[in-house]
Amino acid sequence: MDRRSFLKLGALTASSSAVGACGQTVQKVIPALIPADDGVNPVEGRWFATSCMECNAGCGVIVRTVNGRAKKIEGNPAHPVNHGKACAMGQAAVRRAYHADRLKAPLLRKGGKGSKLEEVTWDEAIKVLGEKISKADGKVFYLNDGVNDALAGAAKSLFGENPAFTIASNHAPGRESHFAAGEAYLDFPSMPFPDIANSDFTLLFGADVFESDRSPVYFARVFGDSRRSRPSARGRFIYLGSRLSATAAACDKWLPVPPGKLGLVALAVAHVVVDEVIIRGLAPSIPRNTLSRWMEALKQYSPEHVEKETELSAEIIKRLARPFIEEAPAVAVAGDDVAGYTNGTPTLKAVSFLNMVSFEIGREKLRIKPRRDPAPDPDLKNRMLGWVGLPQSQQSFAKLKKLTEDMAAGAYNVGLIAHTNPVFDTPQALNFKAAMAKTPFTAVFALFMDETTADADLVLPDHHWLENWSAQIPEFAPGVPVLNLVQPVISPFTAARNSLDVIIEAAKKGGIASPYANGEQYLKAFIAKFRAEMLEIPQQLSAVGAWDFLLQRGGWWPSDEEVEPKNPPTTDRLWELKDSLAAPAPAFAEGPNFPFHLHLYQPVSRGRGKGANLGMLQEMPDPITTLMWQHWIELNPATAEKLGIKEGDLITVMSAAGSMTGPAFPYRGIRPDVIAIPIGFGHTNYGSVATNRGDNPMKLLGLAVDEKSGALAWRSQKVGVKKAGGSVAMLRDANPKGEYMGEAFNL
Amino acid sequence: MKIFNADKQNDYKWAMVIDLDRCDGCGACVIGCQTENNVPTVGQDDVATGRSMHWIRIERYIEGEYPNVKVRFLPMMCQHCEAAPCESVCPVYATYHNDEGLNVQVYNRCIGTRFCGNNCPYSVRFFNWWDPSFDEATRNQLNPDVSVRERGIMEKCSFCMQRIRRGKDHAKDEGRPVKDGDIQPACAQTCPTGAITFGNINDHESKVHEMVHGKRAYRLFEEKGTHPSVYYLKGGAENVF
Amino acid sequence: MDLKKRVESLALPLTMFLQKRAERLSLSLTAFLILSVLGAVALGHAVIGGVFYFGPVYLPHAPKQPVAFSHKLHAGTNKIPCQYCHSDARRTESAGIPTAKKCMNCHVVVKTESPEVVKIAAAHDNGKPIEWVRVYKNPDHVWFSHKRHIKKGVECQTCHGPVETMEVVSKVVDHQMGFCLSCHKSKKAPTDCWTCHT
Repeated sequence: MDRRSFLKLGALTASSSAVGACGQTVQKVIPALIPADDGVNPVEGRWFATSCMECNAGCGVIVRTVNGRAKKIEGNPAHPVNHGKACAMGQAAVRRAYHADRLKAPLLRKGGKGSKLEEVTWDEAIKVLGEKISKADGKVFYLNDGVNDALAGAAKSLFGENPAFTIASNHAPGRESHFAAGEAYLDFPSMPFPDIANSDFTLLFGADVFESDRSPVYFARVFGDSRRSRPSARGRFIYLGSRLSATAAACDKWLPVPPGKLGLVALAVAHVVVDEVIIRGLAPSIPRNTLSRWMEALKQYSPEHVEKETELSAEIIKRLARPFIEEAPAVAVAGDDVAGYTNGTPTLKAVSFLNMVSFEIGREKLRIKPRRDPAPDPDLKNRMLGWVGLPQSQQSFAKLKKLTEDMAAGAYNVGLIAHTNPVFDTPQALNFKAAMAKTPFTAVFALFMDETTADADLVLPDHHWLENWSAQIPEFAPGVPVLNLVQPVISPFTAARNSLDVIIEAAKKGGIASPYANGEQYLKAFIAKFRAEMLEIPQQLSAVGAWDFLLQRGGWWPSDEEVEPKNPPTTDRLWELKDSLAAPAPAFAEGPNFPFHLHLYQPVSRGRGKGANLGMLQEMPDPITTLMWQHWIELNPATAEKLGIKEGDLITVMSAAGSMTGPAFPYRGIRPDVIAIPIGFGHTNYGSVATNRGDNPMKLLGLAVDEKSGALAWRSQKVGVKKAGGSVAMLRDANPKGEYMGEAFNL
Repeated sequence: MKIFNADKQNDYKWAMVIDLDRCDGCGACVIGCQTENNVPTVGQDDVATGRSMHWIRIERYIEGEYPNVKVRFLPMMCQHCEAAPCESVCPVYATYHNDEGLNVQVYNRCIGTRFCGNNCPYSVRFFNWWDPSFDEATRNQLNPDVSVRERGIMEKCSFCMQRIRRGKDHAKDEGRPVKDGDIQPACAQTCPTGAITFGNINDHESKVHEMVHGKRAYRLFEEKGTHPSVYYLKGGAENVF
Repeated sequence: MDLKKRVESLALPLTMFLQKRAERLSLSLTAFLILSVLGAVALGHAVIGGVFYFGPVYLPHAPKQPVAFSHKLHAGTNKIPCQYCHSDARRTESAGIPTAKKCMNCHVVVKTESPEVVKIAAAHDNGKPIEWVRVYKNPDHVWFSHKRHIKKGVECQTCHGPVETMEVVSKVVDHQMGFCLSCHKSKKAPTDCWTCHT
């Protein structure tokens, strides 16, 4: 796996060490490297194209390296997801690669369960894993974090033949609800990526698109484009939801809506829109009898009907609907505050319906550009996911839940867990930890010691993606086949080994024949298959030439011209839509002393706890609370006053599943009946920076799911709050001279 | 010491325009700046004493009471004032104004009186209370173009002068002036919403020149006569909803 | 925050000032304080002033290198141009060190049995870098571009001395700021601080 041999370096000191400005230090050994084709010391650095694997958004990046050290990650300007931009977490990834806590050698519990993890050689680690696999009887599972990478594909191709094998993902909650809704409207299970960039009006239904890992950079880019890139109009954004999130903060207006009631709003808006369409004949492409069938289904959702339940006046709902009628292009986007409830899927469908009608109206006015989804061959992405990553049908909480139950029942002999921390970031009620203890042998591919790694029987230190070969299918425009390639841009910082190589080698030792000797061959074979499908890659190039072409580019994606416009939905399809126009009431995990709704959320740029071990991200103030290095529990100031809670007071939040404690942060942008807590805090074993910082709110979650899709309904928990006694100082990023004085600036 | 002279024309005068209508407060610029400029993290204890260090920070303002709450973001960094209050108080001339409109901090000249930080109306100068906290592993990442500041000196946003210098260097190699868009500070390059634009305001064809002369442009504390080189474009609009 | 840190932070501005002075002289703070007191009493400010004026003396500095490479032989006798080996000098800020492969361009046929060449050949074959010892090093706060100077036609010897006469390279020119500035002034090169200080 070492085609880029010139990246191999000797031990050298970085040229910019922390030498004081005035200190006359001893002259240092000059960084010197041998393999000669790279020359020495080009200070300007070399730029390598690769792909960010921090989350499933799959941004293309270029990395500046100087003296074989990665210095800076920037977005790849040619990449369709991020157009040269990058988020905070992506840029901080260099610090994850050069992290003092990186695992340095394989660790093995030599005496079996209960004994200590001890350092072993790579040969021994692979031998042991091979032995376990050979004796596993095919009862193997593979679990990853939902990133569609080559490792998942390789695991599937190695072990997938045996029916006892299971592959599952521990991804951000709610994804499968989007898939289910996408299937109903786009013929393809996928996250919707509506054309915000060209829209005058965007209605966000609890869509925390700048925080979730659906692709914060993509959404930020289209947000900016809609706002100010078009000379014709300034894009307007209205956010509906129970908390004023960082995404809502960027919008023009936040309208609080009770938890789980957004479906009613969506259908009420649709009611107004369809009504106008019928009266004014706005969308001749939709047959009249279809329209009247829709209207019949929507009858009970008139603004006046839902006014009381949604706490939005009929007047406001009509105003929300107006842009869809008057000034299309207008789009609706749904997100976490929709998918997190037990009625997530129907609500997502209601939002998609609104988009569909809006699209038909806009098409009539010829003001909308054809969107990119779905591509000519919607099945292609699924086939690609068969090679790299997991088919989207496999990515569900139901699957993870089933896997955990089976593990606890002793159904698996060997577990392979890659780059995910289910012991920490799944609901503690799932009790993944106990299930792991019941599995005779679990091997974990990881960069750092964390809660899951600490419980493993074998720890296999993996390369960071800056050091690694891999491929990834990003979560992007449905059906548009984007392939990201990951190549090593720096020499490995520790004695880790590429997980792709390790898994192939161990499987071979375990008696599983693989046509590929190592990971590089696996990738090249995948590229060959891909070329056979995607004729657009220059065919005149040889296999080696195509490989280099793709590496230099960072992957493959069609240009805008190469993607054919969306086919309008057939009349049959529109006819069927009526069946999905319903807004069932959400179910909540209630309790006698639980008056509040629990609103867990993923904070900006920290993932679900992955970024917690980086001082840089800990010290980046949260955009909303401006807190640093600290966990917090948000509640409305009125609620806080009623309970006698002040900022910084330690409070305990209790649910039927468990309780957690943290400092209170009264925040005006939250409904009085909601308690919001960011996830990703409360690590118990994740290096010195992250450990014991806050408390893990996953303790509060039960296992309620969205009835239609089986997604974890992580916002359906109800909780109680009481003072825990004592208080702490809140570390806010304020002006050293006091609070910022907003009035002074002409914002 | 150079005295402010608005009429003096150079080939280059660097300026930055920040569109507040685009900013979503995501913090990508903060981390972009930190990794580019070797800005250390100071740790929880120092943050508690108000010594947090970010060359660019996102100021957050909350207006109104529930349910009519509005949050606004304002990225704030050294404003590179033409008539900078920090420059006139430095006893050792460690901070001065150069011909290209940059407020330059000369680290090796600074003795750490912190007068400049006290005199800065924008609070964008940061004092190194300790030696930077980069461990052995992290040093691999440090940018060799930027010096690592030691304990006892002031530091602040430099408009990524190492990038300006390199951009000019490349232009010089090709025997041409710097083109608009050649030079991008780390924050502008990374900003996902495209809120930050950087360029030469003396080039009348440049983007920043056009934006600065738009209706929405204003500067912070203009009434104090500091003549900042950072322009903000007013966010929001009438009758949004 | 522990007490020590707190006390230190209160006393910081003064200690900082003194310490910076001490560091310039490569002395510990205590030694510097003692020296300052002694100096003030016995000799007055002239002594300290003198030390500041002349600056610490490091010349000449000729570290032992892992391979006894002779610049005199290569650049002097054989007249190999500097930039044949240090080819990055005209292309980037840093002059760079030639890779072992570049040495082997000639030494696959020339003097292959010499013990020093054998060392280089071994490094080339097993991929281990030769750990050359730095002779000239600018402090971290100085930015210097070889490319710009070479493009302007500045001779290597102006800053590095007559390297082609040296058996072992020795630092003979002291790169204090005055040295840079005198040349910049005489050639009307920029003297703006930020030209060199980042």
